[in-house]
Amino acid sequence: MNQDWIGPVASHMLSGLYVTLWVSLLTTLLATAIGLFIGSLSASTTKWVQVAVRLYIDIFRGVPSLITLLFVFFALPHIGVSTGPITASVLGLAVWGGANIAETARGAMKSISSRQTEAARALGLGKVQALVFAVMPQAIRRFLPPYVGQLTVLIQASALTSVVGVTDLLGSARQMIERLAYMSPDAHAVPIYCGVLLVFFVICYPLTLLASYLEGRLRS
Amino acid sequence: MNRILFASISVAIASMSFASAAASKVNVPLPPEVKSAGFLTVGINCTYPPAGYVGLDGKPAGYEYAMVKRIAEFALGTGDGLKTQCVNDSNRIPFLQSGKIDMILASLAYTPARAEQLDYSNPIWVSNLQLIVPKESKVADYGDLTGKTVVTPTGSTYQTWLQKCYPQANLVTSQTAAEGSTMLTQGRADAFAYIDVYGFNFAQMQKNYKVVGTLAATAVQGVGVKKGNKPMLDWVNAVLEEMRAEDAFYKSFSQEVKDPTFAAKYRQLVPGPNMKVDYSKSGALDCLKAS
Amino acid sequence: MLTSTLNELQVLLGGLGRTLLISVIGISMGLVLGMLMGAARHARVPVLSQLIACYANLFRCTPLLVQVVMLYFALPDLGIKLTPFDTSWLALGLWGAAYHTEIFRAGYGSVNPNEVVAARALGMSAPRAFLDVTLPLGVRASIPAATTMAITQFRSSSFMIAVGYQELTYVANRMVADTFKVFEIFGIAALAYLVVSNIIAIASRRLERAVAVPGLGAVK
Repeated sequence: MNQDWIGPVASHMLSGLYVTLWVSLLTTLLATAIGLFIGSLSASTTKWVQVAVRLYIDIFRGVPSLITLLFVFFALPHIGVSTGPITASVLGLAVWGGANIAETARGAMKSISSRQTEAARALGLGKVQALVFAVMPQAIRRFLPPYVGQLTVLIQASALTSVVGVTDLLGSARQMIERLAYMSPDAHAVPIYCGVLLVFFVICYPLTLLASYLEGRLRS
Repeated sequence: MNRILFASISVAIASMSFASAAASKVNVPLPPEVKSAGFLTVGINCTYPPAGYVGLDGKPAGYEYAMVKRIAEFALGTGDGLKTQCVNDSNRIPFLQSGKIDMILASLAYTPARAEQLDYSNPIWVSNLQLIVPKESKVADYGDLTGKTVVTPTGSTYQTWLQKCYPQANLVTSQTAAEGSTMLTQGRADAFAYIDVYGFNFAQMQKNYKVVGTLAATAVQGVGVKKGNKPMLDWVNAVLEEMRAEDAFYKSFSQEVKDPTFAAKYRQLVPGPNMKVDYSKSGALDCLKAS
Repeated sequence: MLTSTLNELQVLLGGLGRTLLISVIGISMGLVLGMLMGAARHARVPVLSQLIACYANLFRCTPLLVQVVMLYFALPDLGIKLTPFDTSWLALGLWGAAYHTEIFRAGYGSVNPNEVVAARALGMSAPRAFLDVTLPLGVRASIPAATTMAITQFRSSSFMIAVGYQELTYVANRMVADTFKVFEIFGIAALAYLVVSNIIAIASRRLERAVAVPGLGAVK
């Protein structure tokens, strides 16, 4: 059984893995920033801000991530913004991921009883101070475990970028299978896809363990 | 006498160096965006052998890539002067419109609809459809596909052609060529409809399959550039004229498709020093005349 | 002009129908399997519990996109050849069940243990107590989380383009590639997903209220 194909395939998929990790990192950073910003806005008492937040979260959580991604990718050239597939993918995924994170943040903050805020105000803290010093620290403990869970979802969502032409882990795997199918009778599709699954699992599983650990430790 | 000899030798040397410098240059200026970028970016196929695919070394390969390399030599030389971007049927035009690639060379068959979205260069290649079927299959031509399942890559002109001309066939699409051929070998499809070159290679490798069917859905392919980008279009056409004169298209193809008899079939079809092709020959969406 | 628009709407509607079809089957499968497997996990059935945990981790920590491709192209090696349609709902069901297992397990766990003790004190056997007390109450408690997951499953049906199943996203993507009407087509598709997601959410809230047991809290 000829094993010569494993080396070159693995090394090409390694470069795809770097792209996956890079896209995941950028998406995570941007989505977290968006999510925390929008989530903290939800504490506002201004009516139109609340409506805007609700709208953003509902729309971008309700529309499949793939459609948001495709839309951003196709629409940006139309409005004159020139971006590469990686930038468009990160933007599309971050907009979707940010909505999910915002919802988690909103839920965490809401679960902190309003009496905490009242107590803080009664102690003489201003509106923002009450938010930062009283609500946030407790909200963070409620927020972290599901947030880590969402990171795993975001990382797996990076596989979608292969649909818009980014040569990530999945894309590079497909290219190798294509080449093998053309040049040899056996494309080794199954072991290659298993390899892809394994890599994602290895990245994601420790994160889920982290999430459970955090849940146990931070239970208030 | 010596002076004449010396003078003529100098002239000869000067004209030779001038000629070699001109070998990879055209009279039309290089578009400014390529010059300032320092490289040419081309959208290519990465999952459609033998036209465009990725070799085991991770580098692009295929006869289209060989053509791309030659074009790049006219621009700024290969190596650092060429960057490639893998494209597929649905994202290649957005890539072009957003300016992320300078041109598309990815089995871009001419259709009037596409011509509204981008500008086609002069034709560079001609490709035909054929069917791969199991050896014992009764299917001999497209008409026999009625009620049978035929698979073809998604977004290709072949998909549109099959839908238009043989709607009684059960058409399914695959994301890549390999997936299509896998569906055939797994018995999920009765036929795999794709370019005849792929079929030829496949039948050589897998002995229990054969290629059948009239050459159809003749796709005349060209390089796609952004609509309205006249400097780029003029430059590409000038380069392609040079390449046609040096028979670059057929050479790229025969280097990739090693079988000389098969490659020879293309001699009469594709652009070459003695052969000019224009888009009027394109029948990518024309049904075969009923026999 | 109008006929082409009507034609396009017709195609999109067909895609939506197919999306709904695999979603309904996949969600039902996910819910039923989730209730069963969650019960096994809750009762800590030896061996079975661990196996289920492995399955759940595997399917939650790998991208659905790759799972569906594997199901389609790898299973034939084991003699199982599925159509794109069957692959789609099966992939959705298996992936969803992995999440629902955890959701229902948490739901069963949230039932006040005093209720179970009371049931046992009345002479019910352990399985009886589970069926008559833990199961009904646990399922009710799980409705919000299970709904969120069901909606996620519905949205994830868009990944089935990977096996060429002509659901809404596939159809929309094809149309945009052919007609370049990015905003209109993706807009309509996004709207369709939003409308159905909201219908599911509203129906779920009605269900929650309808089956709520008066006097028993923990139903938000």
